[in-house]
Amino acid sequence: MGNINLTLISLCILFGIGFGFFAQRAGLCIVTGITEIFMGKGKRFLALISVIVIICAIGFSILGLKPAGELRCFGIYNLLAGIIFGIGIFISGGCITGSMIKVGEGNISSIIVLLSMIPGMALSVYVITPLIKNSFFSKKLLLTDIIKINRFYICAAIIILAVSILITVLRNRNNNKPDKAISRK
Amino acid sequence: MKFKKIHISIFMGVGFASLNVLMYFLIKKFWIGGSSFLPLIGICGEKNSFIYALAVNIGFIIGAFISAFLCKEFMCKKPSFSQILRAVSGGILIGFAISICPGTCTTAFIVGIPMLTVSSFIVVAGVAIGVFIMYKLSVNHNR
Repeated sequence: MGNINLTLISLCILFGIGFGFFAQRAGLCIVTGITEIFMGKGKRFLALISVIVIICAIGFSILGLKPAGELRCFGIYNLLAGIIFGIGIFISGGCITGSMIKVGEGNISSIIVLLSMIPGMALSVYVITPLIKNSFFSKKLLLTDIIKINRFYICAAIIILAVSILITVLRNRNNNKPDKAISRK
Repeated sequence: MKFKKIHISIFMGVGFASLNVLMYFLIKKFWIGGSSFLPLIGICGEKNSFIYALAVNIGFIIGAFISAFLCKEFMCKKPSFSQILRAVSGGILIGFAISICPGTCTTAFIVGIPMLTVSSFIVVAGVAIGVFIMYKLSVNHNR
């Protein structure tokens, strides 16, 4: 462990307090959201994710893009990890964000979820990864590295898609409201 | 005007996303979910990046506590044996998945897609498949 900047640590904790506050009020939990979508009640989650994607895409495209993950073995390990993660969050009843929110709300089983991640991480990092390390190609890739188009165009496409989802969700919501005159009759 | 749950979610989502962009602008770091817990097994990342991410998530829990306390939603809940069993097995699977491919978490939805990270698009598809399999199994089991 090298030098740790204490000012940066304090700043990170302050940002974290803000993230936790907004996430708790927003009810940001991936497993709840995806399950709501499968149950046909995913409007709130779709609107929330759309808003986050719109703002972050605008901000990040202006400030510059930096990969937020690695492509491993041409994406096969990413897909497998995603499936295992999906199964794990469904069994435990909350993704990592959801579990951290629940810890803040006083849910003890979410503390157990976060602590149980330690043996899982150790198994993967110290046992499985050394065994398969030579077999995987690992690269930090952006979509702009594959599709040779300016990042602003791709971000614009994603923003347009997210805005359309948001408008559809909000419009459907307004259309679903019962007409007062009809409901009185 | 009375705000509904969806409006509150959207406003708070705006706050969350703006804070994420502001943090990236000020300290060149963005919010990370799962990989931030890697320092607990001794992996600190490049230039201690995971330690800073862990600090963000310690603040996250404090922030969630403040919000829950202010809204009178804070309540200590003692889990049953089956809940503990589910928490342990789910936690192990989550820990395994996030460390086999860093960026496999909420990060893929919130940061990865706006950052146009290729792996995040694949992860999002994988998570949807995983949750769908479990959802179908639980629906069939409850019938």
